[in-house]
Amino acid sequence: MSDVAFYDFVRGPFLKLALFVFFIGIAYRFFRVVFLGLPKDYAKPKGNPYYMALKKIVIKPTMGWTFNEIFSRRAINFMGGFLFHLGFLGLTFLVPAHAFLWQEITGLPIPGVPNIVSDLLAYSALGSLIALTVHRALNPVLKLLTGKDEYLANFLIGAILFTGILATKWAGGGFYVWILSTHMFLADLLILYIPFSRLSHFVYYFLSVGFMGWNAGKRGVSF
Amino acid sequence: MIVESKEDIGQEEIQKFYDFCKKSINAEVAAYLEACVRCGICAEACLFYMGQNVSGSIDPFLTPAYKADLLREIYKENYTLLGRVKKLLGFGVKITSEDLREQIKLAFYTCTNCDRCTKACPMGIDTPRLVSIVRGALTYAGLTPKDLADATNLSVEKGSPLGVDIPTFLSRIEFISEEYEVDLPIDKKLSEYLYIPSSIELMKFPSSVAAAGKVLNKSGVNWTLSTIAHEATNFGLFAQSKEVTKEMLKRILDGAKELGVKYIIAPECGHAYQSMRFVAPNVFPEEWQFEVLNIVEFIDRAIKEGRLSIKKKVLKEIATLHDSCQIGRRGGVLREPRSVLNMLAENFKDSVVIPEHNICCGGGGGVLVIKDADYYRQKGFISKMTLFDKVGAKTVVCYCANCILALNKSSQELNRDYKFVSIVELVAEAIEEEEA
Amino acid sequence: MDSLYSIYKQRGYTRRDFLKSSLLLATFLGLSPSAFPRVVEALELKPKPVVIWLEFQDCAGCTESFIRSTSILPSDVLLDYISLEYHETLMSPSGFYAEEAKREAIEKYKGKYILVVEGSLSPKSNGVYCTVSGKSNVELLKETAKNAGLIIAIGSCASWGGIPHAEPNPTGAIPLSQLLEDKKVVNIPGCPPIGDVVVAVIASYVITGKPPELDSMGRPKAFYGQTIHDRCYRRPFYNAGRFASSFDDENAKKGYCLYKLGCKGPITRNACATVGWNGGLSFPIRSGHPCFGCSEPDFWDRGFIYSPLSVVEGGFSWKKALVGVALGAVSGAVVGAVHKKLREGK
Repeated sequence: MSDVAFYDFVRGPFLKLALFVFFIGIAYRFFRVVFLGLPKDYAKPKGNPYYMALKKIVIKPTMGWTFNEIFSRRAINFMGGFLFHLGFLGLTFLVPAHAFLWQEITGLPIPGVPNIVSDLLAYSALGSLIALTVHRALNPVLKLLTGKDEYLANFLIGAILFTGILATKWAGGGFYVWILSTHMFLADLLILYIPFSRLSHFVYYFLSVGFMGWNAGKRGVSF
Repeated sequence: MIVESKEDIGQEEIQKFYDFCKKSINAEVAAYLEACVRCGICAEACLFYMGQNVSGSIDPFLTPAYKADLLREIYKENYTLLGRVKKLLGFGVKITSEDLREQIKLAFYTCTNCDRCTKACPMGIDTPRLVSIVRGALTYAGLTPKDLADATNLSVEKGSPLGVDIPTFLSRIEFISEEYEVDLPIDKKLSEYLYIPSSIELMKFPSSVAAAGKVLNKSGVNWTLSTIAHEATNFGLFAQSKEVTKEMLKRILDGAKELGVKYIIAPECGHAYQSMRFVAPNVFPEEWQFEVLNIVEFIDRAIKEGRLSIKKKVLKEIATLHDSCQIGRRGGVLREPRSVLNMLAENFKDSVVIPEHNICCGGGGGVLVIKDADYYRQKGFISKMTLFDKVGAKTVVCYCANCILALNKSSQELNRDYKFVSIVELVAEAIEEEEA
Repeated sequence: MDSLYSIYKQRGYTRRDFLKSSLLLATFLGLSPSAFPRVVEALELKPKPVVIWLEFQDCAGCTESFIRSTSILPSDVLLDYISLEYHETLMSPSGFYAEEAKREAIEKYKGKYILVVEGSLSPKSNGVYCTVSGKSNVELLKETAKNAGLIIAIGSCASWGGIPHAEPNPTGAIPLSQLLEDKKVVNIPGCPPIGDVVVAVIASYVITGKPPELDSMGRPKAFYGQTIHDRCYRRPFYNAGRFASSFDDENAKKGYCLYKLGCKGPITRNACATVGWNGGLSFPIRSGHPCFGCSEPDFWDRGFIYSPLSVVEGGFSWKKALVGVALGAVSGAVVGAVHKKLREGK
């Protein structure tokens, strides 16, 4: 198969398949949980559960930083996790080539960032991902909790970041198309893989943190 | 109805455990089970893990996320497509009796349902709720630890886990009112407030009951004790046995209805407040029409309304506050004890910046009564101690009798000289000194 | 025996002009300076190449590009040097005489002549869509290719199928290499390809006696080894995230990157950005138009040419995504509700 044929396959039929599986899978997983239903709670709430649920969903990502004792022991998790998510989401939406895609999809004018910014994001994301993976492999608690799923996801995302960096930095000739195609192919695989893995935590975040905030509101506590 | 504690684990028990877990899944639980990203941060929030860590060894099995893993497996193979396919192909969960023994250790020995991991979890997973389901399933299968099962059965039979039946209760009250010279009304009809002591206070800290009586008398409300509802603790909650929980709450409901009270005042006891405030309305949605207050909440409210005033600072030395998880973090009574204690202590130093981050005593959730769990309780106390030492306090003010009991026990076992005092007693002391 | 040098002399050019052309050629082919004496020697002594040029489903655009290649050889020298024994567009004979001339050339220069094919082949329905003098295109190609020393597919049509091959491909157009699977074909894709590249490839055959080094898709590595993007003079703007959003906005006037206007430079291999067009004067991006990737296979079918490369082919539609979400939601809801029922039933 020629590289351009592969390129066309990756951004054509394969991407369509991946997107379709992604949307169906994510919606299925989200609604499957929602429709399990909740028993009615008759206890009178002490605060405002609905407000707290919304508030928690918005501010929860910043809350770990206030937990000093844990932060000091697991700085790598907090810093690495924060940098990784920042980098990964930033790259997904703000690298010019990606931004044009999102602009086409959403119709909003999304500003692309210069290479220097995307480089910073990419290196921090890749660096923290590697650090987190190594930490995962060495820390006894994480060794116990980690399955194949996490390593596969980390590897996939790492490979995507790496080929992405390689593609932007490449000045060595026509092999570029292979790198670009591989980058896109892996991204398609990731999209395809999300509904089957823990990477779908981004939808459960809203449910889980929402419930936590709801409980906090019910009990009248803030954190 | 009686909680069993079997020695042998057979196929029947495993099946019962499995069924209970399967039945307990709802949207909230499923969301928590699905959301875990295996970051392991919860381990650093768990007092048992921290205690082990401080002592120099790491026990990854104490990680809260790990405690729900069997439940997660059961959820997956019953509620997800992939899990079902796996089960069909014969890769389903295989639970052995060893697994269940491990679950007993994880759920009953090394978890106090203190909720601290929830606050640290980046995904907001309420691990205590998941552990509660595992506890419920073990109890349903008849595998409650012996000590806990005995106490629970005793509380159903005699009315109290310490075996306090009605005659004992009456004689204890008589003794207390004579010894501490306090007026304790019993079964006074048409009272507004019903105060229910816990048997721990009654038997081990009688001064606490006396202090509560003094405070209630001083605040000038129309209150009473009840012979029917004489026990606030609810061991059904520890064992997660719905029948026992309901039975214990039924007694409170009967007593309160007979006396026609509007408010129920829960004593200095964590899960008593939790059960009456948050569980009872769901057990008796129609009949439970009382407002439940914790005694600290009541004192704070009385001070704000002007019915009670504290002018004398009775605590001179450096003091810190220990929060009861079930009253504080899970009950929302966190600001009240601090505002009261600020009036009582000259040198109050809070050991945590955010009250919700306080560490558990290590004896909650029934861990205190289980002898096999002593090792873990002591480890938990070590991590608790770091907070006391951080502010350099030797005097610790608590608002839960169970916490005082657990802390005292651990402190003595480890040869430490911390002093644990009840906040209500301090209030009573302040009032008395003022009068004198 | 006409060599390049003798033609130069006949036309009244100096040896200096000849050496300049030779040097340019060596540079084009990416030869090392030490190989230069060999190049000069070959061009001085070796006879001029004989070319038979066949046209099938084409537009003669490649021919136009070829005869305007003036970077290496002056135009009068070019057509004299590269001896076009048969070229339907350029030759003066017609009909029977033309075909006779081709037959004679094939016999006379057996195994030495260069076959250049312009346009795609059409074997569908026995080749009725493209015939010359009563012979189908496949037949013509086979008889000419049999004794050719070098076969060159010129243009995207001959290399990949090109525009005749684009959807819905009514004539069943196929590239040359598919019909001549047993022979080595040098592909010089482009719509049209750069004429200088064609000249350089032919001259290199004269110099070395064998086809140039090819990549996996049969293209000369020297000219198709790099993407336009790699050598684009607007690359710094791409790196800095500066893009023109339309053809006449401020950024376009400033000469910013044309990626957003659909430039296919990143995936297109060609020598435009280095060799350039019209004697190295310009190329599409320099004149303000995005590259649309004419030298890559199926360029005509790669969606709207003015939408950015990263945009989903055929466009992303919310409708489809919502259909997916709705499908997933319904199945999730049904499964959830069933589970709930099952749980409560027990």
